[in-house]
Amino acid sequence: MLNNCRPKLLKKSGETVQLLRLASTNFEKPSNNGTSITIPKRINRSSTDILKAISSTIQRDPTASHYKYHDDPYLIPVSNFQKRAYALSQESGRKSAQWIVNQNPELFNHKVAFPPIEKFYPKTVYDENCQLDENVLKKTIEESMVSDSITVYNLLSQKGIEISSETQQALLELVCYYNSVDDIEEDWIEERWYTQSNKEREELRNTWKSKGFANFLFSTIKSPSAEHYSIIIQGMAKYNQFDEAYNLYKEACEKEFVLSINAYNSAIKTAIYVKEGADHKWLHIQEILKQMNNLGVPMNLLTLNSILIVLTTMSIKQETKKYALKTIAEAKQFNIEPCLASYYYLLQIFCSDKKMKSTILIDILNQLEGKSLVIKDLADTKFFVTAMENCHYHLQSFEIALRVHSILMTKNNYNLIGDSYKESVYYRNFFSILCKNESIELLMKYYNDLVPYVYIPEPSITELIVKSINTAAATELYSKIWSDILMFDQADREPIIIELTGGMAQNLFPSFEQPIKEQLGKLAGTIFDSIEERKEAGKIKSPWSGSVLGNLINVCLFGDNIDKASEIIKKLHTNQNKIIGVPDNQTIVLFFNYCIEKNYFNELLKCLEYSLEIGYVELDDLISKTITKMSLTPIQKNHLSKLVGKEFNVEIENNAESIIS
Amino acid sequence: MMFIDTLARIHPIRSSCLIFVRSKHVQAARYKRSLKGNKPLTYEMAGPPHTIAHIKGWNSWNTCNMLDGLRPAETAIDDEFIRRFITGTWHDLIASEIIIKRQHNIIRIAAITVQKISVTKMYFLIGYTEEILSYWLQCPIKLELQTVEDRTAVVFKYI
Repeated sequence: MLNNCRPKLLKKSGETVQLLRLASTNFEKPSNNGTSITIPKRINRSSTDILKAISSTIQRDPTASHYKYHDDPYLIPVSNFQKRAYALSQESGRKSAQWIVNQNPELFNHKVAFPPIEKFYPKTVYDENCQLDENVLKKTIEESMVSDSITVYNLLSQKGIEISSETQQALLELVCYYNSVDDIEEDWIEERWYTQSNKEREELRNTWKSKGFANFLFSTIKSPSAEHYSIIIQGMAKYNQFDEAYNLYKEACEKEFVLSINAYNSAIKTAIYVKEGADHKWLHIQEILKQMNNLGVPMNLLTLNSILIVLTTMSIKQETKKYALKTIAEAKQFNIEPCLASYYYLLQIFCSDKKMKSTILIDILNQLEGKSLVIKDLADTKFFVTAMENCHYHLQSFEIALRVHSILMTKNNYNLIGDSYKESVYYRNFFSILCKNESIELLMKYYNDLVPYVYIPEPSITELIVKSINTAAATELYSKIWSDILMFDQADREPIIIELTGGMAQNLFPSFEQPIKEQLGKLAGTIFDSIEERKEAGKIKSPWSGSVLGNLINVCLFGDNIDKASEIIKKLHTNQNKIIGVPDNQTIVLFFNYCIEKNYFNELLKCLEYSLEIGYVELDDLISKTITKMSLTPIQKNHLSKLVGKEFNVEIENNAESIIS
Repeated sequence: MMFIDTLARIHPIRSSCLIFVRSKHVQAARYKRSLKGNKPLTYEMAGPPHTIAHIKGWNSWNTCNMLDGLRPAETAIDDEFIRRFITGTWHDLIASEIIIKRQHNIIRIAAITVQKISVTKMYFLIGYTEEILSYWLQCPIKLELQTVEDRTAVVFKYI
């Protein structure tokens, strides 16, 4: 019966429906044998939750490049230069498309999409002919278009249109935040990724535009309120105009304004430049904190961070450490959890002393492990790179580096890596620790995982990797590392080549099986060829060095690659003036012995010619050995005697005969 | 085909002969044999239209022509625009048909290009094409390119 009347009841007011539900649950209860079913509450999902759930099932594929690059062998970048060039080229293509759209806006005014997508309409240009009112200004401020807002404001004031104080304040906030200039638009992801590092190098340089629009706007306000003061102080402190910020702060204090919390934070930061010496700086901080206390403004995370920033600039380490711990403890009382930026400052404070090692990083990692981190301060992005640097130079421990790395890899924490520069510094340090402290197996595990799609080693790191291959005598890796060196375009780096060839020549063990030997011999040949090719093309400017060639000869002979070895000898002979240094004595001896053993007379002659010109010391023995051990035809003997000179030859022959007899 | 079927039902004996006569004169979307037999065809070109969905796919993938589909005519025009735009922008670089796939509001454009210009230039063109087409069609556009060393790589047969 109830079922029948349900549709009717449902149509009635909501109350009846609820009553009905209550009634139906009451009816059902007894039939369930006393076990009640608890229906979980509905979880509100956003429209993209299902996509997130799907994407969480996928892991990073170490054999695929970043998805911003096209998945095609020709289009995948293999060196740092290419990575940057390709990503920026694509963006520059996008930029030129936008330029065309903005040059011809009348062609792009059609409205196809429904609902309309603002982003795809050409940019509105504001000039005198436009119908302007305050709402337009509000809109441009909302979209944080700095230069547009400034033009609209100017046009409005030209026309004598009054704007409300709220909008004025919003405009002031905008121009103070962006220092009166347009930031790189959010659309240009690659440009931001590759230029942020340059920006930060300007750190602590006063970049505030003193004749900018922000100052102008502030001066037009007849009686600035506490909010106005707060905004401009924050803006100035953000762009390191500390003197003026501090003056304005004092002015505001005299007027007995209660500023916003972030303005006080900025005022604390001014201590970096305004005050000198640790004591004065600390007094300055205390003064402002007291002021905040009197006015009943509670501290927040940024207060903590700005105090720590000031502490990093102090020179007396013992006291700063004490102060820093005090501040953290104070913040704990307010239930303020330090963010990555705070930890970054702590690392700077505690680990700047090279003699006194501090293990504060371990404590920090204990706090961070397993957490999903979100950005709370702009400096948060500096934490991971500094932590890895700390592991490398300060603690010199791979275990801790691995912990840092695993925190970076959990959840979405990788978003906090910062930009391309920080990322590469991070991995540079990571690989340095690996190379210096860990086994070659572990190194190669990470190498295969991260190189080349995430990180491409810089020449110095490649050298370190080659070094660790050398010390581990992992000859099977030489061909891989060489092809990688070629791929990364680092074959022109002399230290790498010297290290590689030296290592190869040292790690030749007679116990190797024949195929491995041959492989090595071939590899030495290809190394010679590809470097030679690059030298001819003018890519490598520096000349060959004799010892590198000597090492290559050693490896070639070891791998029975006599053709290449004699080619190198020929190269040495013909280009004596262009090659710096000569191969080792041992190399020449080895070459002779090899030729004698295998009966390669022509190759031996080449080597002899060369060594005669260079003037090797032990040549006599070698020649006599040649004569005695090799079965020579009269013509060959003739050749030999021509080269060494007849008398010399006779003498040696006599010697040889006497040795035999 | 329906016409031929009906005919076949009416004149069962002559049907095969008729079909033969009819199909002999069909020439739409078929390539003519060249005199020397050296005209290169790609895989897509080699199959006549009735092999679509048997040995080759469609060039446009969308649901506009289904029952209650939206904007069928506009989509066809847009597709033609995209094809012309791409062959013009990627001048002398496209070595295959341009496949246009629509899913929700995304248009994915696939093609095979020849490695004639430097990679940076290619990336520039990718960025440019994607951006300007999204401004024109007001939806996200994605290019899915594959590259081949030269045009002979995509030749399926010579006729």
